Amino acid sequence: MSVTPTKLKKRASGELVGAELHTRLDLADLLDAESAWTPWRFRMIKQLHQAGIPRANWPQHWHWNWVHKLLSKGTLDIGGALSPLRLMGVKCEDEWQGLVLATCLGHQSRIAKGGMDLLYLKYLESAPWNLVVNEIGQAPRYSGVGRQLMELGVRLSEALDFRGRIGLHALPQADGFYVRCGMTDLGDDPRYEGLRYFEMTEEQARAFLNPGRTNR
Amino acid sequence: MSKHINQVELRFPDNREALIREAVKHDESCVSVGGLAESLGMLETPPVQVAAPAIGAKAFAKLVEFWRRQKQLSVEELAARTGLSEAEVLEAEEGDAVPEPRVLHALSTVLKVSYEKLLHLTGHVTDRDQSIESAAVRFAARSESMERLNRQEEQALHEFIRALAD
Repeated sequence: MSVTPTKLKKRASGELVGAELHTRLDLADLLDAESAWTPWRFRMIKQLHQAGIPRANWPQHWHWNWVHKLLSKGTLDIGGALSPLRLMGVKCEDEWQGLVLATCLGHQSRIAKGGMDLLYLKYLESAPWNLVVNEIGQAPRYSGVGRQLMELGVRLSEALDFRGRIGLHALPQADGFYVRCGMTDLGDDPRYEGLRYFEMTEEQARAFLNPGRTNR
Repeated sequence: MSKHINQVELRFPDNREALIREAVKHDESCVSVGGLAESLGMLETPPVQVAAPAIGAKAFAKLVEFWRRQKQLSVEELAARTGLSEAEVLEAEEGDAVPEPRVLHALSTVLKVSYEKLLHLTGHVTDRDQSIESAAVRFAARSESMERLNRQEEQALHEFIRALAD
């Protein structure tokens, strides 16, 4: 099965509502998500602009046109049997609430001895309506998306026999989230325009999948 | 033989209630990562200058060397304990270049000092911690390399490690 039931918290009512973890998606799903997310981002940019918020304080990635770039670079094979990229996501009320795109090529652990293989998260994004944006008074529609996307990553890493090891470069405004996920902050990476590199070790992955339990 | 990323199935436990509770505990702001953006040439953040303050790099080099001598370890033995190469340990002790975060992480584990503070000390993190900076100056200003640590060096090492503890 590629769909597993889960729950998200509806921020307005505080209730848990049914959602789905999807572990096998393709380019069409990414296009579906972006076609819903992009207009929302533009509306928020307009509000930030009208509120006089300096551009430097806007979420860094909102003006990126992912799909256009992906298409122009020819990166069309997402999720195919031989594709090196796997796309997964969280769906609720028939809308994509977040997506994660992972690869296991070209990245090795910077912590584990001997440069062990790990799962590298190339893209992880929550729908723009799920973010707290205090500057324009936006409360999130749902809570719990980001951490469940990370769970998909950890479980894919386990399925690949990487024991939960994950690496990623966080956008500056997301550093705190990855620290809360228990990952190790390995500092600014000059090869990635100074983005901070985070890694989850086997032990951290065990702790992540067993919240509330003492690790080891 | 390695498994293919699109040919494995994910396994979930029957009961994920604790994970869901943890997931919805906090509202989220940005959670995005930048690996794909980098490979598509979309990043526009100016490169972060990893300008190691000379004094911090020197203090770190002395810290490693003094600690190793105090424990009466050879470079080879310290390399084995940290999983680093001998060349990396030697470079860390020379203090001419900024050690990579990976090297700092490996040494912080063995020396039992805060990795975060080592990032500050060596300039990887820009909002410098004044208390670490002054401790580094005091430490780097003392002592010469000798076969054994003298009493003052022992004391300086002890104080510096305390300043870098979690």
